[in-house]
Amino acid sequence: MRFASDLFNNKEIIVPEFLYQSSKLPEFFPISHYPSLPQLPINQRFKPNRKIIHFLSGRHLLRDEIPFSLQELHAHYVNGYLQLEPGIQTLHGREMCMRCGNHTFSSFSCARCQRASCQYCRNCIIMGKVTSCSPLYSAPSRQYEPIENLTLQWFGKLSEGQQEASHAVIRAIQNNHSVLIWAVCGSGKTEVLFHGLAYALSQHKSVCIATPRTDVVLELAPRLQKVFPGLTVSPLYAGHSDPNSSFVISTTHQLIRFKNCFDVMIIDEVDAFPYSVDPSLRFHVNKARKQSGSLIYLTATPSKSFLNQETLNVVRIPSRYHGYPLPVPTLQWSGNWRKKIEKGQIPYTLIDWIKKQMNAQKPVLLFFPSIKIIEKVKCVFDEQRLLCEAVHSEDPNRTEKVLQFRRREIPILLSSTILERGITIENIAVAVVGAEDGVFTESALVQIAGRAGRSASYPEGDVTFFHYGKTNAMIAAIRHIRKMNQEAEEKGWLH
Amino acid sequence: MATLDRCSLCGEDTSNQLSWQLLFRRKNNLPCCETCRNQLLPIVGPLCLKCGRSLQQIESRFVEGKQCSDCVRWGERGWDEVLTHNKSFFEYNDFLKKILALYKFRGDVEVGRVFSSLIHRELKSSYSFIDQVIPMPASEERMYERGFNQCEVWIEGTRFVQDSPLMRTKNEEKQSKRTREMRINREKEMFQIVEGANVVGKKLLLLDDIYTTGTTIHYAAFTLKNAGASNVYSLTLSRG
Ligand SMILES: [Zn+2]
Ligand SMILES: [Zn+2]
Ligand SMILES: [Zn+2]
Ligand SMILES: [Zn+2]
Repeated sequence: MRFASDLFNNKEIIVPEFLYQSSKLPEFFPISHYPSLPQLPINQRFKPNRKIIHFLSGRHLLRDEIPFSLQELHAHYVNGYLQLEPGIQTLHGREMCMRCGNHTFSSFSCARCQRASCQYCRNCIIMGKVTSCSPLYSAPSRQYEPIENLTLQWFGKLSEGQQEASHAVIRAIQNNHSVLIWAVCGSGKTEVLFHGLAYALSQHKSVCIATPRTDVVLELAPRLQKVFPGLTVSPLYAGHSDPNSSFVISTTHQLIRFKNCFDVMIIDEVDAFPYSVDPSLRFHVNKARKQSGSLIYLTATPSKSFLNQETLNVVRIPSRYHGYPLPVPTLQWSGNWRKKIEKGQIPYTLIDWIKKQMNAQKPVLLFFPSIKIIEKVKCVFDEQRLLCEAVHSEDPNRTEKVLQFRRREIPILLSSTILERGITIENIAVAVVGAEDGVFTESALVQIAGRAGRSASYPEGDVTFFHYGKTNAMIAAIRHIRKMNQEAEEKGWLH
Repeated sequence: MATLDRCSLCGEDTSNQLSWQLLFRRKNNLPCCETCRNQLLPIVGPLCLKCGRSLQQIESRFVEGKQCSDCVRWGERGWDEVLTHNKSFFEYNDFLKKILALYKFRGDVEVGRVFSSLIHRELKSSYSFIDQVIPMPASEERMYERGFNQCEVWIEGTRFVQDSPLMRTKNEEKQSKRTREMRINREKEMFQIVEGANVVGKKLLLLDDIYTTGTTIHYAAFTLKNAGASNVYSLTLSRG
């Protein structure tokens, strides 16, 4: 978009070219031509449109993402109710995408600003195109009205480990500090948040729980809605990016549409994709939250680099909520299993293990290193009349297949690492086939092992890593799990 | 962090692949990764002499001599002389559809640029006799909405960057004309010649992203021929 500079109440402002009707036009420039746009003072005589203020409060949006007219937006800007800034700015001698923090750009000949070389950000283009000529709109985060009678409707009992972590969460929120909750798989990390959330809501704080996966957003939203009746929970994910309350459960992607918004920021699975690989995460989180607020990380498998660089308080929950130790994986050499599969055979060790589990009426979840291998294994299993289904990240019927497995209509489920997190099925037997593959990092293996023994009725799950050569990741994963069990034992938190 | 060589289409790290390609002189003539290249299907086999679609890909009852029945229909309706012929590079499959959506609708210009070198080479080898390449014009609204013309990007850096003689007819003008000349085929008014432009006696090449029914290209060619162009050809990235 192009703007001309002008004066309003003796203050310098910029005006979009479309708002000029006269035939004598001033000179227009892309918004990047106006690097510092001061926040204009609020004009008390102006009657703002509440809808616009609410919509833009704490947001950071492109013109195309805002369902209000340019005239209205301009009026709110000149009267001090909202801010404009160039989407790409030079900070400390480096150009940066103000929405995602990226520093490298492509350029194109732009019809919107009529420049032969308008830059655009490829890093966040999937969320809309930020160019040198795009303004980003935002309004200050608003003060929320207290919600009447908002109380926690959850009367479960926290385990000792959960109790400690719960106190740490409350303290972080009270004092606007950061804390990392390192909670083993199956420790019940969501319950750890309940009392902290109740406190935050009683103080009218805005809250965001961010997680890498849409599945988790969809699962968490109704759970929290249930324990806080009367509260409006706003789940945000691709295609649903506008919150309708100050309590947001969002995919990490959606965070880039916020600025200075949340008093309490909770980051779930801080180690998981895409965080650990996406250097913009820190930028997204820091932009979306208020710097004066609190920051809570949750994870079962924090990366070393994360633990090293963060000067933050770490609270560990080494035990599961049911008080039984984590199942320790067994290592099982299975020779050149790939060659066997190629020949249409299943390694004996694996077939024996599967039969044993099936005889014990256990659902069998098998992890493989790649989609290609899963497809081959599926053929071999079909030939050998082992009833199974296969799921992977590009499978549109994934949810349905997982449901069938859960209902025990399918005895065996073959999966890529896609199900390493978040699947909880009672009495399940879990194995990794090809555990030596590079995709099975320490944290992936710990997460996979964490699928077993989660229910109090069947706390002793079977976890086996079938391999063609031990890797450091396998050894580290087992050491990690043993250490957690030992710590829980020492604290006297195990049965 | 070290900068990686990434495939412009899918974002895959290609730093290893490139060296393999050099080593074996693989035939990937596009600056993208092998996986993406393999999903682009070049149009091959006996082609329709008019629209360049593969005659193998369609049922034999839709083939009439060396043309497809669509082109025969165009001919029967008196359009034979309008477009000399069309050439398209790739089949319009789900992959290319996705790529074109990233390019046109998301506006990721780098995605479109993957095809530039291919188009440049084609212009040099097969269309050196052409006087002017005309990227298919977009309406003003469309142009603002997308921020760029996807076909103009493909001739960036060539001698063919010139002011286009062709433009989309503005909506208001279409309306008023319609009331005056009710009988005229509406779509024929889709394009008009830019004021002051001269195409008399010129050999012109229309460049577009896709040839589907051929309607747009035929109407554009019609306007150019009407204004005196000697021949109009078309080149499109894909054939729907
Ligand atoms: Zn960006
Ligand atoms: Zn621009
Ligand atoms: Zn690729
Ligand atoms: Zn044809």
